[in-house]
Amino acid sequence: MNMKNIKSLYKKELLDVIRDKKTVIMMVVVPIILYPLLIVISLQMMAAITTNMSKHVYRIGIYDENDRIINYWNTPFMDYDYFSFEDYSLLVLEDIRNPKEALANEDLDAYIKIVNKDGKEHFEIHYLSSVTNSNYAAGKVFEWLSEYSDIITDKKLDDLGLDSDEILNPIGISYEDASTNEETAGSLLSSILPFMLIVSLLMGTMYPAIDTTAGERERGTLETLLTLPVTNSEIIVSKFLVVATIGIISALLNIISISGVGVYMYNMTSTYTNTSGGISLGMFAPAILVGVLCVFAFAVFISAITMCVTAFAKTYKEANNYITPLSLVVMFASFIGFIPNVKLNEKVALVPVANISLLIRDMLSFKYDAKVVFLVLLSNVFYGLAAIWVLGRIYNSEAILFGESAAGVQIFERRKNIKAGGVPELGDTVLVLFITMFAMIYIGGAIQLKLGYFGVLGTQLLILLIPLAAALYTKKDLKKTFRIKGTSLRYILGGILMIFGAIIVGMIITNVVSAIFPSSASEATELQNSLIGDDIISTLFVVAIVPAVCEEMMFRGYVLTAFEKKFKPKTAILISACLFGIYHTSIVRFFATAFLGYVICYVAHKSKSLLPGMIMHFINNAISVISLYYPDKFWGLFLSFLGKSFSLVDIVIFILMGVFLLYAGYLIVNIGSQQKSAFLNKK
Amino acid sequence: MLEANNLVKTFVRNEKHNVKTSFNAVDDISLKVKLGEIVGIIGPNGAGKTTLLRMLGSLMKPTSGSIDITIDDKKLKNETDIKKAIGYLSGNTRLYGRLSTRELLTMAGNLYGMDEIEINRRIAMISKLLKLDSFIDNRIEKLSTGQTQRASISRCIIHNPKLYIFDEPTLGLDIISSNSIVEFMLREKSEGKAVLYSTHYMEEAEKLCDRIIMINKGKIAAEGTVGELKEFGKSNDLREVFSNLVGRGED
Repeated sequence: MNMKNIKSLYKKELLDVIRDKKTVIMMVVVPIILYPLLIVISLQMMAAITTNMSKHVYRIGIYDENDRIINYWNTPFMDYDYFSFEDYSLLVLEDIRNPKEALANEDLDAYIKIVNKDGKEHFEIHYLSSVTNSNYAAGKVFEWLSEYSDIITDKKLDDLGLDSDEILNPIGISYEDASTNEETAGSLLSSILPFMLIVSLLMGTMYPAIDTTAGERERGTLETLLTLPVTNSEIIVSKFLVVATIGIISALLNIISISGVGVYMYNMTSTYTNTSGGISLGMFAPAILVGVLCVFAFAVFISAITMCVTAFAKTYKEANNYITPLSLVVMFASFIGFIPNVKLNEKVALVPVANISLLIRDMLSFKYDAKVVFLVLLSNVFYGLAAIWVLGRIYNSEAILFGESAAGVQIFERRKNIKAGGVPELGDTVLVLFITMFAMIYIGGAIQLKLGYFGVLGTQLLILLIPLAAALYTKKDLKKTFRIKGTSLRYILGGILMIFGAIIVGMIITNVVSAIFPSSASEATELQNSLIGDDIISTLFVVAIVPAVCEEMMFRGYVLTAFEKKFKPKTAILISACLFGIYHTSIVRFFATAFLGYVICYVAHKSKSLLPGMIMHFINNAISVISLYYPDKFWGLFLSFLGKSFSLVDIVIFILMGVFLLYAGYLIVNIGSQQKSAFLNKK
Repeated sequence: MLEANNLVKTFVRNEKHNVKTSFNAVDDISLKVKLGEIVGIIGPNGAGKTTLLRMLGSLMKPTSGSIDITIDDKKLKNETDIKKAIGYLSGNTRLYGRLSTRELLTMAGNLYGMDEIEINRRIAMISKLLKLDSFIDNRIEKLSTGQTQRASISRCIIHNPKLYIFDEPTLGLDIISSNSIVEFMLREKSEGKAVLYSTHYMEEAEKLCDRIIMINKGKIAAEGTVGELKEFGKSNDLREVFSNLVGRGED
């Protein structure tokens, strides 16, 4: 890559994009004008409504059990000279005959019906929950009656010669808010701003992303570009840099805008609470600084991912169609900031979009854990790089550049236009992976929390049903896609040996990674414990058998098959394995699961059947279940010859054992095949 | 100076959703173009003209076969040097509407590795030659068709290439615009440059070309001078020769 070329191209692209009004409007107007305006207007409206409510006088009436008007002089309130309704903005009307009708016509906001219940005077508050004023009126009436009740209590206790305060409030209770004023102001902003920031960033990068990819192709300038002595990588890098620049400018404007709103809110709160000087804006500085870095990384990621999507499109219109589902997913994920009890932990820090949403929320409330922030930054950089890599591959394909073949996303096409047969397209697979990931985290997470055991089962079904539905919709060859095919004994035997080797190697990997990330290690075990069902059989079913079917269908079926069609076997296996690792959303388990995934993918690739992989997957999961149920027996049996504590020699023996099993399995799988294998090439 | 041997380009095409067919858009074509000559490529739609020219212009990589470009007895090795030697123009090479002609030429000049003084000198020269002065600083989207055409030509000659590859350059143009291109090709030829171009217009080809290559279904059907082709086809009308070769009704 020639830096001078990239500079020239970058200059050209930037000029081209900046001169497009739509881009500038989206980049500047939305963050700078639109959303401060939105916040200010909504705050003013809220304030106006609240004042209006407090000034409003609510009309009420008092009736007996037969809906006859009771004159105030005849109400029980008179026994205590209780006239304080004016303090509660209430007006008692005494000339309305039919209270039910009056309530429906909103001539009355609420009415009290005094009945006798269990020998006591009982006050029913009648109101319309569907009408705002009636709701408020009912609330006021309730407060008013509560005070009346207190007056009676006081009087009765007084009559008995008792101190009412001592009897009713034997102990004192009060809330003391420990959060500083900064935190209070932050939490007000923090629930809505992340969402707005992400949406605004998406809008800002969307147009340049479309313009530089699909737009350029639609206008026919791409071929002109290709006649110049530049490489595809130079073209895509400069395009990406331009979109990322716009993204970062947009992010910067957003941050400035947010700060502006912050200052406005700060002024509002300080005049409201009269605690000027309680909030020092200087305290915001460190949070903003770290936040800004993460937001920049996220801007880069979102730029790359939108470009990946738009690069497939030939026209502006098509690009818009492709970007709509992406926007929905992004908005949905950014909504997580609104959910109060979701915490930004090491796991969530790896979920794209959601992590940045939560990070900003936490930043604005001055809560942050340096390690988690680092993970958010790292994962955004990682996803950004991955998206750039994919983008580079897309742009290196002549089919895409010259529009000779549509490597599109079939899921968006009408079913009747799709010809039956074949295996999934890459675009569909990426989409299915995203949908499954989000379904697993959001839907799966929710049902696991609610339903426990059956929630886990449901999550697994999601992993099976999403690719299956996609394959059915796009009329794929199900046998080929999901490798439904008999297999020979050598694959099963070899696979079993290999999985035992992989488990051993995986354990070593996990131990090494746990040493680096100690806190997530305990998290991983907690998770496993929570999976335990009523007994070992039910646990084995949900932890070993079901995933062996569902996850295999997804990863060694849909995903690997699609990748095999597009990439070389080695690349296909490696990507599928990494995705399998990512799906387990844990750093500690990533490397070990990716390794297991690699081994299973290899056997699936060789055997062209899903069966050996299912058996391998089952064995792996079953062993961890058994070791959880019978830890002493299991480890005793397995490690009796190693002694209590591991010495270096033991570890070496252990590793050798694993490698030996892997190699033995590998040889069996490859009986009769002279081909150079993908597996050995990696080693 | 340009020599292509046994060029093949295979496309795997998703015909109507996922029924894959692979076919050779260019199927074993060899050709030579020397400095100071204009070579025409004639063929029906879908014959593989565009694909052939894209490969020769280094926009696409051939599936197999070789392309050698020799300038001053030096064989060009890498893609960058090859692209620097070629001026490529086609109906598909549109210009950036939001840039001005000057900005476009400067950008192209930079990418061709020219320095600022050289770029400005070339722009001044081309501007005089193609009469760009009145609109060189206007945005290209504001230009008339004729002006855009001239801007397009200026883009492909900014680096003073030795070889021109034009893919149907006169397609859809009015007489005045297409005449300016024809004039341009003749002028460049007289300056010792080579021109390889494809067209649908027989009369134009007959008038311009030193040699004509007729291709059909990715293969060379016939080649030679206009006279040779007429003799070969036993007809005095080039159009008839062509129709007889590719089968009537296909053009």
